[in-house]
Order: sequence, then C-alpha cells, then structure tokens
Amino acid sequence: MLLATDSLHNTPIAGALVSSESEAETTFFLQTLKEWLPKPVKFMTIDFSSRIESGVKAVFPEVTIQKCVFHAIQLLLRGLVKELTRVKNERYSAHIKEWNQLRRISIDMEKNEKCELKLDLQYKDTAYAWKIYQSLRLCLTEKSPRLIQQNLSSLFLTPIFRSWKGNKTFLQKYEDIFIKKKLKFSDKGLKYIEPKIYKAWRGAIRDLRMDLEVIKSQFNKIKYLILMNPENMKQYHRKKLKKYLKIFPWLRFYRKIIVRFYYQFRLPLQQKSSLRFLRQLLSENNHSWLKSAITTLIGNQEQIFQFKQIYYSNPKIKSVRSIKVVNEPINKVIHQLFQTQHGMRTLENIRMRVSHRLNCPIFISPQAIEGFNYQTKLKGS
Amino acid sequence: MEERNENGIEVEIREHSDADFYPTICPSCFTSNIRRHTYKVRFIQDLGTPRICRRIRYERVYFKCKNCGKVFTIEHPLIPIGSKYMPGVIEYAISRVLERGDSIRRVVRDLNELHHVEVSVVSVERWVNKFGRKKEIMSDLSGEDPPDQFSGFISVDGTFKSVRTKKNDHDLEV
Repeated sequence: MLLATDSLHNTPIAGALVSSESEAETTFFLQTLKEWLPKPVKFMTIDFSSRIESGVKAVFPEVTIQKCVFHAIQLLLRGLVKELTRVKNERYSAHIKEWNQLRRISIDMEKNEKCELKLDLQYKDTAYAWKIYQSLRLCLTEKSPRLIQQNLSSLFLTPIFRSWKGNKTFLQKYEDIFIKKKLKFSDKGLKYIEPKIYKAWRGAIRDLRMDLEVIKSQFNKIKYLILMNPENMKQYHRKKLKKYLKIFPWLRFYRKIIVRFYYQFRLPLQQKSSLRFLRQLLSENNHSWLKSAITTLIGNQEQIFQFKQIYYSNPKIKSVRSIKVVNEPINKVIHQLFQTQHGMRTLENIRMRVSHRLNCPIFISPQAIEGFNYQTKLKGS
Repeated sequence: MEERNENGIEVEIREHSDADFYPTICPSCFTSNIRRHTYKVRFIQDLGTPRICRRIRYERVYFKCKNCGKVFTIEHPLIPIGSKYMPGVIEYAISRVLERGDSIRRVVRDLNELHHVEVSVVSVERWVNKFGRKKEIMSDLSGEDPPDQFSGFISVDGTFKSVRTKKNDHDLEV
C-alpha cells in the first residue's frame, strides 16, 4: 500500500492499494496524485526505496527530495547491530562454544580412552587449557601412584601451569580431593583420584567459561546503549554506559562516531560535516549490512540533510518534524487495523476500512485488481 | 419514561408516538378532517447508559381522513420506518468500526453486554458495508474532492500487507 501525507499538516492525503512497490505502480500512483492535487508539489519526503525514488523523479522531475531522517538513522543502527552481533559471536559466543567443546571432548576421552590429542582451537586460552589437560593425562599414564604424585607436583611448579588462568581454581579443587575427600595416592585410591583430577580441570575451565558468559551478557547490554541518541538518554543510561565502557574500552571508538553522526542532524547547515567519517567504521570483516548502510548514507547525504536547507529558507516551518521524516505512525495505524481484522481478505474491505480509518481516499491500482481477480479465479477453479 | 427491573437488569423505557406529530392535512384530499384510526406498538432497541437496557416504546398510529376515508401514516422524525434499532445504535457501531478501527465482534459484544442491545455480527457488518460503500471500487481519484489546504509538501511511504482471499468468496465485481 502506498500512502501520501501532507507533511505540514501531518494528515494523509490519498493512498493506493498496489500489488507490489514496483516502479510502474509507484509511477501510476504518483501520476494520479499529480493530476488530482490542486497545487504543484514542491517538496517530497521519501524513504530509501529506489523504486519510489525513480517514480518520483519520473513524475515530479522538479521536486526537491528529502530522504527520511528516521530511516537514515535506522539504516545505520541496523548495520551496527548486525556488526556488533558479529563481533559478539566472534569474540564471545564462539569462544564459549570452544570451551564447551573442550569439556565434551575431555569427557569422551575419559570414557572411551581415545586419545585425540590434536585439536584445532582458535583461542589462546582454550589452547592453553588443552595443553594443561594433555600434561595432566601424561602424568596420569604412569602406573606407580608415587610417580604420578611426583609428576603432578613438578607439573604444578612449571611456569606453563603457573601462568594458566585457571590454576588457582584447579589447585583448590585438587587439594579438596585429599583434604575433604581424604583420599591418598595408593593403588586403590588412584582409581578414585584420577577422575577427580580431570573433574577439577573441568571445574577450572567452567569458571573461565562463566567469566566469559558474564562479559557476553554485559556486552549484550552495552550493544544497545552505545547506539542510543545522546538526546534521548537519561541519567541512568549515561551511568550504565560509562560503567560498561570501562569494561569494553574498544567500544569508545564506535560510540564517538555514533554521537558524531547524531550531532550532524542538530548542527546548523554551515557547521555540518560530510558523512565520510562513517568510513572509519569499515574494515574487511564488517557485516555486509553495515557496509551497504554506510555506502548508502554517504551516497544520499545531500538528500538526507535537505531539510536543513528548507528550514533555513522557511524559518516558519522549523518546528515541523514531518518535513524530515515520513509519516511512520500512520503505518502503525494500518498495522493495528490488520491485527484487529486478523488480516484483510478482500481488496474492497481493505479499501473501505483504511479509507475511513485514515479519513482519506484510497484507490486500487488496475494491476492489483487484475492480480487479485486472477488469484480468485485460480482458487475457484 | 418508565423504569423497571427485569431479571436483574435495569430497563429504561421511553415512549414515542406518531400522535405527538399529529398530521394537519390528509395527503390524499388535503382536508384537515382527520381522526386517529388505529395503532400498533413496537419496541425499538436504543443505546442507553452502560448497564442499563433502554427500549423505545413506539406507538405507530394509523390516521383516517373523515372526508375521503384514506388511512395513512406519518414518518416519525426520530424513528426510521421498519427499523429495529434507533439511529444512535447504528451510528455508534459504524463509528467504532470504521473511524476507531475496532473489530465488529468486539463492538457487537460491547453492545450486547454493556448496553443490552441485542444485535448480531451480520447486522453490524451489513451496516458497516452499507455506510462504508464497500462495493465501490475506485481505480483513480477522479471521483474524490482534492484536499482544501494542500501545502505542497508531501511524504510518500509504502507499507506491505498481504490480502488473503476469503474461502468461498469470489464475488469481487469490478
């Protein structure tokens, strides 16, 4: 459905039910609108749809086009959400998955006595933990309990073990085997000690994984905070953002660019800078949505900030917000109507309901009528 | 106005009669020698205060001209001929469905439960379709008046919703 709204009065003027947002149907709608309107159209606000834009250029070649600011911001934010999710998956989710994989493999090895010693691990600390596990297994292959005890004691003194992050948790759990469980290194005791040593190692890697999960959940929270418009932030948002930026200092770079982007919409026409600074966000591994969003924004920046020119030349309409954004709340009304109706079943019904709800004429494009008749014929046969 | 209680529901009865608008001349011979011939009483449902059932006791009077013997009726200004509902009920249902965007079933439920107006979904649907001119399909804006105060600034946006064909309903006349 295509809908035209009077930007200054913020009221819908006319709409059309179309089979798709194709260039032909958009052109038909705009042409009908042009012939029907009493005055020529001077200024038009549209979103980033290329089909609507080409239709507008074909029917209203002289009109000034404004690309919707709301959609511009949404475009960048969607790209950034995708990018940050990618970063989260790469840094934390995949890492946590690797810890889980390590745990599962160690259990399998103990059950089946298979020695799959070579593993392709991406992260340093998982590789390190795996190395420690292998050393532990090597120590526990000895048959004499005394020799095992000696080997383990010497392993705990090595710099490799000492520099391992999970060593404290492991040693604590290791000592508990002898203090709390009161087990001793003997032929009989070794049967109980061996699985408990492996369990202690798993306890240590569990703690490391848990730390990572806490960081991941904190990242999930900051992900949306750093995307917020400084204008809309409240005191508690600022406090939280400050707290989380201490944990993730590398996100300051993103925040700076986002704040700069938001300020471009508030700055006067003369002080506004080019959106090329957004390119700083780009790197080879970026999510494709972010790349295309930045390219689109830079390509359309003149039309995005067109409203400043209008405000500058017509100070009377400076307070009219709908000049720079398309009338998105109306789409919500239509959506609500569809929800109430549990969908619309006929074109006649949708035309009648939407037309009365929005208090504006709605017509049906010939292609939509044809398409709908064809569908009903097919169903009938 | 009479008030009574039926099965725990407060019923308010208002009375309207054609005799309140007594005709002055006969529509056939245009003489003023008219008398009351007979009458029929009908109860019409009305929209009352919530929880109160309001009914209109309508006295349909038949008049007779003493001169030519013609029996005739008049059109009551508040009550449409043959209607079971007062115009207010119909207006309420239409405005809620078409202007407020409420569902027909919800409006019917409110009318039944809140105002004790016994009305079916099909009746309301018929009122809505008639008032909303459902069968009129426009393929351009030629039949509509253009906006009076058009500023020259417009925004165009698209929203996507699917239209499903109703089962056993293929009577779309174009």
